Order: sequence, then C-alpha cells, then structure tokens
Amino acid sequence: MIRISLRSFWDHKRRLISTIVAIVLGVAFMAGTFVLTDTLDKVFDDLFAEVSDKIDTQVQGEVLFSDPFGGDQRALLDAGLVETVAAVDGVAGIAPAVGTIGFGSTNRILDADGKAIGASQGPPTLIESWTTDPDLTAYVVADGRGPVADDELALNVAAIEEGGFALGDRVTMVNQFGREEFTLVGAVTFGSAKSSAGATSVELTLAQAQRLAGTDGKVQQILARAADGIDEAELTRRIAAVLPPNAEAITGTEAGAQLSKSVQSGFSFFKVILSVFGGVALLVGIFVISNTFSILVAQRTRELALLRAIGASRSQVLRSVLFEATFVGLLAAGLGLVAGVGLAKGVTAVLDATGADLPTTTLQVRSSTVIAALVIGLVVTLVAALIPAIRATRVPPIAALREVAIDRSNASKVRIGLGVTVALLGAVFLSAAWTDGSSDALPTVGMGAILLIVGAILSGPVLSGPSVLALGAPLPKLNGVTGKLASQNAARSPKRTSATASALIIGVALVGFITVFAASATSSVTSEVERGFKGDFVIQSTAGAFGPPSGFPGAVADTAAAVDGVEVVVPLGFGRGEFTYPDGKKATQFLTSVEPAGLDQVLEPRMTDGSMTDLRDDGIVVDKELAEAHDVRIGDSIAVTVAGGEAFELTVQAISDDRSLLGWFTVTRETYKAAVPELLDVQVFGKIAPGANLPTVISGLETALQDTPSIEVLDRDGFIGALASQITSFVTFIYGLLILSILIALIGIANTLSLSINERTRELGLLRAVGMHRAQLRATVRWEAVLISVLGTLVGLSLGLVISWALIEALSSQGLTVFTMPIGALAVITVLAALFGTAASILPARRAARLNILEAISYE
Amino acid sequence: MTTTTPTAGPSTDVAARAVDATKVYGSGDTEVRALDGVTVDFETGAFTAIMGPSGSGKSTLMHCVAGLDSLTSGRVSIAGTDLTTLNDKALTQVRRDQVGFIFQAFNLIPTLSALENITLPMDLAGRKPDKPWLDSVIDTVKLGDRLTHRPSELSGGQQQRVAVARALAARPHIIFADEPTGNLDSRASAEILGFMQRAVSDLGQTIVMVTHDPGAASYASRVVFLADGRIVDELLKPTAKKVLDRLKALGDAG
Repeated sequence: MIRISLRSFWDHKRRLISTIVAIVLGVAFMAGTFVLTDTLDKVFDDLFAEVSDKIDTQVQGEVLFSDPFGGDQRALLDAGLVETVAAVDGVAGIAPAVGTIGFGSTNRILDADGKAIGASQGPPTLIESWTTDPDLTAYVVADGRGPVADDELALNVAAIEEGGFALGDRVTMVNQFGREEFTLVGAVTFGSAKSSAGATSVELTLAQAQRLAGTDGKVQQILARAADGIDEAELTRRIAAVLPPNAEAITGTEAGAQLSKSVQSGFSFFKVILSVFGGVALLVGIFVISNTFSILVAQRTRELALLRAIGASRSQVLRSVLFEATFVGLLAAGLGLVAGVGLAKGVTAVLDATGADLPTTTLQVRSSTVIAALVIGLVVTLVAALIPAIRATRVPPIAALREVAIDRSNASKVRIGLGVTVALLGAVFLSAAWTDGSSDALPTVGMGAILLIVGAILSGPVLSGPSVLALGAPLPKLNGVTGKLASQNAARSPKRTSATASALIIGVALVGFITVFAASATSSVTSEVERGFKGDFVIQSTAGAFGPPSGFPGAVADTAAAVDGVEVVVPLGFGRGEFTYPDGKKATQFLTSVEPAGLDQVLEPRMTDGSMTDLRDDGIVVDKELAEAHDVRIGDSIAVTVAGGEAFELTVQAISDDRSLLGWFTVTRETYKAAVPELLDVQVFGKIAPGANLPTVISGLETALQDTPSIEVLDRDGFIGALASQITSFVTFIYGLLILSILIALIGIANTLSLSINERTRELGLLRAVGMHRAQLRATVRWEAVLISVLGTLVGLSLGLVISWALIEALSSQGLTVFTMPIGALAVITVLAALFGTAASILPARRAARLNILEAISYE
Repeated sequence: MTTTTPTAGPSTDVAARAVDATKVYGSGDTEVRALDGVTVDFETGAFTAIMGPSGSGKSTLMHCVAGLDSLTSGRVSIAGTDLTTLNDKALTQVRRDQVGFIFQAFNLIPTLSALENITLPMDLAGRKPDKPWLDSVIDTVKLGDRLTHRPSELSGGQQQRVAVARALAARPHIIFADEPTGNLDSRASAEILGFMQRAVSDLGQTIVMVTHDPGAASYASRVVFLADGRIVDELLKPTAKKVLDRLKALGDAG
C-alpha cells in the first residue's frame, strides 16, 4: 500500500503543489518567528553576559511594583550603602551605577546641525554613570578617558562617528533642563563593538547621571567584584548580610539574566503576535489542504473502489491516504523550515541595515524549532486529510463499476442544526457587549466571535449552494450562458465551494474586523478630540505609535508660553505608578500629570463628580470605572508609588469619566514633579490670545522650539490627523500580517478550480465542440472564482462587522464611543476580493481553455 | 476578427467537402496515416453514413470535416468556407453557427436543464432562438414535458433526444453524429435514428453520421466506406443487409 501512496503522490504532484505551498507558507512564518526571536534572545543573552561577566555581585533596591510595560520598578539605594558594601571583606572593587534612558526629545545628544543622534524609533540613548573601575564595566576606553568633571562626557565610538565629533569638542545634550553642553573627553567601545546593540551610550560622572535620572543623590545599583579566591555566590552572600531590608544582592550571572529577560519581554509581545498570525495562516491552510484531499479522494473513487474490490481492507485504504498526507506534510514542513530560516536571515539583515548594530551571532535554529516546524506541518496536514481519508474508506467496492460521480452531496440536517446552534450561541455571547456594558464583557464577546465564525463555517456546505446561486443570479443577464454556467458550477459541489470560501472567510473576517474597528477608533478619537479639546494647538513628540511614550522636557511648555500670541498652555504628562485603593487592593496603571491652571480653557474632560479645577497638589482624580469597582469617593485617600521610589498619600478630589483625555489617574504637575524629578511632558495643549493669528503663532512656536528635536506643533486638524495616522499605521501592520492568510486562501481557490476543471474535462470539451470560444470558457472559470471569493468575502466581512460592532460596544467605556461602518473601505475590500479571485483563476482558466477538444470528448 | 470568406464557388448542393484530406500522426517508424488523401462531398439535404472498421479513419474524417481537428494537408470546407485557413476563434464560430453535433455519450452539460442544453449554441452566440422552429424541433423529438429536467434526471434515450434537438435547434448547415446510438438499446436507437431520418426528409437537414452498425447505416441515403484512411466504396439507398455484405467484402479483401 505504501507503494500505491507514493505512486499516487507522484501522479498527483501537480495537484498537490498548492497544498504544499499552503503548508510551506504557514510553517515558514512560524519557523521564521521562532528563529528570529531565538536569535534576538541569544544576541541579548550574549550582550548582557558580557556586561555581567565582570560583575560578581549586583546590589539593587527591592521591587516596588512590577509593571507589565516597564518591568520591575525598584527602590533607590542610599549613597551611604556604597561605603558599607565596599567595606565587606572580599570586595576587590566597587562601582555605584545610575542611569536613565533617552527617547524622542529628551536625553539626546545633538550633532552640529541640532539633529539627535540615533534613530528616533530604534535603540535608545543610554545615560549612564561612568564606571571608573575598568574591571566592572563592559565599556572599554578606545580613545581619551572617562569623564571626571561634571561637564565632561564620553560617547561610544558609533555615536562619535555619526555626530562627526572629535575629542575636545563641546557636545550638546537636550534634556529636561533644556540644552546643556559637555566636553567630549573619551570614546568608548562596548567590549569590542562600536555600540551596545545600536544604542547611544552617554557616559557621565555619577553626580550628573544622578541629576539627569532624578535619583536625588541616591544610586540605582552597586556593582562589586570579588577578590581572588572568592566566587560570586560567596561574595553575594557576604554582601547580602550587610544590606538593609529594602535592598537585595544578586550574583553577576543573575544580573545578566535579569537584564536580558527585561529586554526579551519586550520581544515576547512580538513573538506572540507573529505566532498568532502564523497560526491563523495554518488554520486557513487546513481548509485548503482538506479540500485538496477531498477532491483527490473523490476523483480516485474508482481506483479506491477497485482496491477494495480486489481485497484491500478499509484500514489499508485509510492508511494509504494518510501516508500520502504524511509524506506531503513532512516534505512541505521541511521546505517551510528552510524558508523560515531564510526569512529570519532576511529580517536580521534588514535590522542590521537599519542601524540596529547587532553583535554578530549566527542564526539560532534550535532543535525545538525544527521539531515544532515539522510537527506543526505534519499535524496540520494530517488533521486536514483525516476526514477525506475516512471518506475514502467508505467508498464501496461496487463504485468501481459505476461512472465516477462528482461529490455533490450537501450536508445533513444535523450539520445545519449544529451550525445554526453554534452561531446562535455565539450571537448570545456577543450580545453580552450590550447587556453588560463594561469591559468585563470582553472575554465573553471574544468567545462569541469564535463561536459565530465556527457556526458560519459549519453551516457553509448547506448554505453555500443557495448563496452562490443568489449571488450569481445577475450573471446570466450580464454574460448569458457563461454566467449561468459559472454560478451553476460554483453551486454544484457545495462542500467544496464552502471549504474553499471558508479559507477566505477567516482571513477576510479579520481584515473586516480590523477595518471596522480602526474606522470606529478613528472616528471615536476624532469625536473625543472635538468634544474635549477646546484649544488651538498641540505640541507633541513626533515619535510614532510603537515606541515607549516619548516625552519632552518640561521646559518646552515654558518656552511655548512665552511665544507671542500664546495665551494658555497646559502641559500633560504620563508616568507609571502603583496605586493602593482604600479597600487595600493594588493596581499598576498610567498616571497622568496636568497643570490645572488654565486647564478649563483648553480641555473639557467629562467628569462624573467634582471638577478638574478642584484638583490641588495633595489630590488625585480617579476614573469612574475604577472608582465604582473599588468604591472610591471624593475625600477617600489613595496611596501612590511611582517609578523612582517615592510613595505618598493623595486625597481623591474628583471622579473623571474621560479615559481618552485623562486616563485612569490624574495628579497635578507639581505633585508628579515632587515624586519624579525627571519630569517629562507628552503633550502641551495651548490656546492663542484673542485676535492672534494661528498660523503665525504656530510658526512662532516652531521657531522657539527648533532646538528641541523630535517634536511638532499641530493645529486641531493636524492633531486629529496625527492620532488617525497612528491608528492607520497599526492597521497597516495588521493587514501586512493577514496577507499571508489571504494568500493561502487564494491559492486554495486556484487549487479547487484546477481540480474541478480536471473533473469537468469532458464537459468543457463538449462546450468547446458546440461552439464556446476560449475566451468564453476562461470567463466561465473566472466568474466561478469571482463568485467563490466574493461569497467568502461578503460572509467574512459580515462576520467581521458584527464582531467589531460587539467589541466596540463592549469597549465603549474605554473611549470607543462611535461605531463607524467604513462602507467605502468595505466596498474596496469586496472589489479587491473579486480582483484577487480573478487573479486566482488565471492559471486554471488558461488550462481549461487550452484543453484539447478531441481528447476531452473521446470515449476511451 | 477573421471573416469566413467563401472560397471559389462550390456548387450549392454540397454542404461539406474534403479534398485530398490527409492526416498523419507521428513520424518516421511510428507514422500513422489516419487519412490518406480523402476526397468526398457531403450533399445538402442528404443523410450520409461513414462506415469502416476500427482504425479506418472514419472518426478522424468526421472530426476534421467538422472543424474539431486539423488536417496535415488537403482542404475541408463547410458551406463553402475553407476551414483549413481558420484560427481557433473562427473555427469555434463555424462550429457554433454552422455545425450541429451529436456524440455517443456525454452530450449534455450536467448543470443545465434540457431546454438550456438545446439552446446552448445559440446562447453562446448570444442569439435568440427561433421560437416556432424550436417548438417544432422539441415536438419532433417529443421532449415537451422534460424541458426543465437536468440531464441526470433523463434516461439515456432522452438524453440523446435532447442532443438531437440541440443539433437541430440552431438550424446548422450540417450535423455531425458520432456513433449517436452507440450507448442505447435497440428501441431507443431506432427512435433516435428515426428522428434523424425525418429531420433530413421533412426538414431538409444535412446529416453526416459515423457508425459501425449496419442497422444504423441503413437509415442513411448514402454510405461511404473507409479503410486504411481511404474511401474504398460507396453505397446509395442502403439496407442493413447490403451494408453488411459490403463490409464483409471489405473485410475479405483486407
């Protein structure tokens, strides 16, 4: 039987190409993701191993709170502790360390033209206290020396090359205090690399680093190395013994792992996203593969029946089909693995080219990746082939004596009953979005979305026939008999049509969902801005949607306030903090800081209780949803711990209901500044004086702020446009990931058509004999493809529409207030689907038209 | 678009003609001369049967004259139109507008109803069928109550009757029938052949039929015998017995 399987594979190799391509694409995407993330993990492991190699013990503050966005927030260490640690027996060298990160408009080094060094969205600028002990740092002085005086700094070699600096130059840094000049006294390398994974390293004296990081004379870490003969565990134990309770000691190895993990957690999000889309692609692939095997089995009915007639058992038939699937799956998974490695190599090359100066590491193709790729490819193929294989065993031996019949069965009543039940259940779950009304309904809504799609796909074989006929009803009017034949052909094998369309439905449902969701988000944002923003201009960072919140120095607001024609400026910043409610529960959330003075002239946040003008420096404004969940009222007290270590009690002075403007918690700028000396604003809202000319004021602002890199001044329309373009760039990213699934679905359409045409050879020959032109025959195939793809698209879009409607309803409390149906965009998607369907039909149509009439109508 | 210009005036009573028609498959040692210089006229309003043993070239001759296959050399024409110079598009048009086909099996498109199958060539041309004519054709083949049925719901004989109706409905210049009764029992065969004979005698249709059944050939007004790619004999006003005798004679000679 194995020989028959292999022979069968060989005979059908052309028909199996698309199956293989579908698996290859999905597996390549998965494997590529694994290889890429493993490689990046390895890069950072190596990088931080280099850092921690020299350190035997790292002393750090206790964890204040864990932040899913920024990692562990730790307490600061008293400077006096440095001496205590240094005095521990066995400590050979010691270094206090303080650092902060520069992004966007702050803590950046400027070149001679005032342009910030380093990419605006790439690796950050690292502001660090210079470690004078060369045995405690991975930095090596390549030229000059480390900073000694407070107006000196050292830069990494790559930054010096980019800025065109020479030792002795005065170098400008923009930070929260404005522009400051330092003398460049040294060039450093990171190990032997010109940069630390592409980052810009700015080495300052401890005092300067403390000032910029706002640690108020304290230090973040104390690094120590052991005297000869003492290992890192022993030294760490000794140091731990002298530490106060709010500090802890870890070994250098642990420190490296901790650092690496915090960086890698940033990638893990991408890993998850990429894997999800790879999974969707494979799911779509299952339909394509299953359809191919179904059709192949149907076409081999006679052959299988003959095998059964001459004595093959059912299980032998089952095994022969599954063996063929195994062979196809392994072959395709292997190809996919190779393609995935190539993909990862391509991405790292792109990363290298865009300046992320990654240390040279070979691609990490782990055995787990190889196994995962092969297993995924194989399992997907086998799962897809299982039902066709079982169907193959049901072929009765007598079928060998009958004409081969096209599988025209549509499914049972059980099936439609099941499909409708599942879909209805999904609809009930989705309706929770309306009945519940809070974001708690999200998991239910998600479940409903999945059930709805499953229900639609289950009922597909029953509904696809009538749907295609209805959809194709106008075709005979347009194209006469070719149109009639096209819709009849699409409807003649409902299972096949529905499996083909299902592959498309999944991808298109996601596209539709994202499209509607983005359109609604855009109009929600617009309407929120229209409602809440009363001012004339906004100053914000140009760094885009994906970076960390990019702030700029508080000085920007002061500069803007002094510009001619500016009447009011209200700066607004974000930070992260841990909040303790009166009920004792804790939560980590964003903390908004605003200047309450003049706020009511530019912003009009929705309030539930009290007003923003009630906010004083000892107070906090809490969002309504949190207030309700934790029974917080005006006058209650909330404890806040912010990054940097300060914990303080604030009194609730108002309850807000405007997450798009204020977020969850709001304090005054003064309060925030007292807790976090490194104050960064994210936006400055402003209003011009009566009679002032807005364009003039804006160009005045631009002139006044030209020294600050990476910020922009926008009028109302520009502000709305910037918000919308953030959504657009996110949507484009998702579209990019969904293309893979759509592509596989289109391959499926082409595949089904080719296989069907194969079956209809005789019929097509007859049509040609009685006078159908090649062009008419191509049109018939084309219209069939268009009908299937438009059906899949319409169903997919409807599902996407319903699901996004429910989700937006569920998220209405999160500022998604407007449900917008982007009819234009949806129409474009439908037209595109028809075009893609046409494209998918090109090869099958050409094959159909080239058919030799005599061969098609001969009887032998 | 290529126009189908008639070549030098043929006599109007010739519906189709082959002149020195030669068809060679393969080359060298494997060369097979399926047609070896066949010259034959098929008269308008006649029912001609082409007979011959297997491999005699009778089907090839029909395929070539009907524009389904091309010649290696020689000429074929239908209604004065030289088919050998036409491209695929023009040939398709000739088949659609000038020729009717009745095949042995797989004559009908399974997704179309009987009526839609009958009007298929006209639908492909975008022409409206001539309603009274269509009705009389449907009447002739007694299909009135079966028009909305799909082929899978019709018996073999009924399917062939639909095929005959399709061939007649477009009023083609000539109808080619390739073993039209090959898959039918004797009663259904007689019925189909009767319809074809009446189409010729009553409606003036021209039919060329390939068959190996002397009984079927006896319905024709003339029988042309082929052997080894050549025309070897001809018989007017045939009866089954005469045809059988000729075939025997041919077999003995060969």
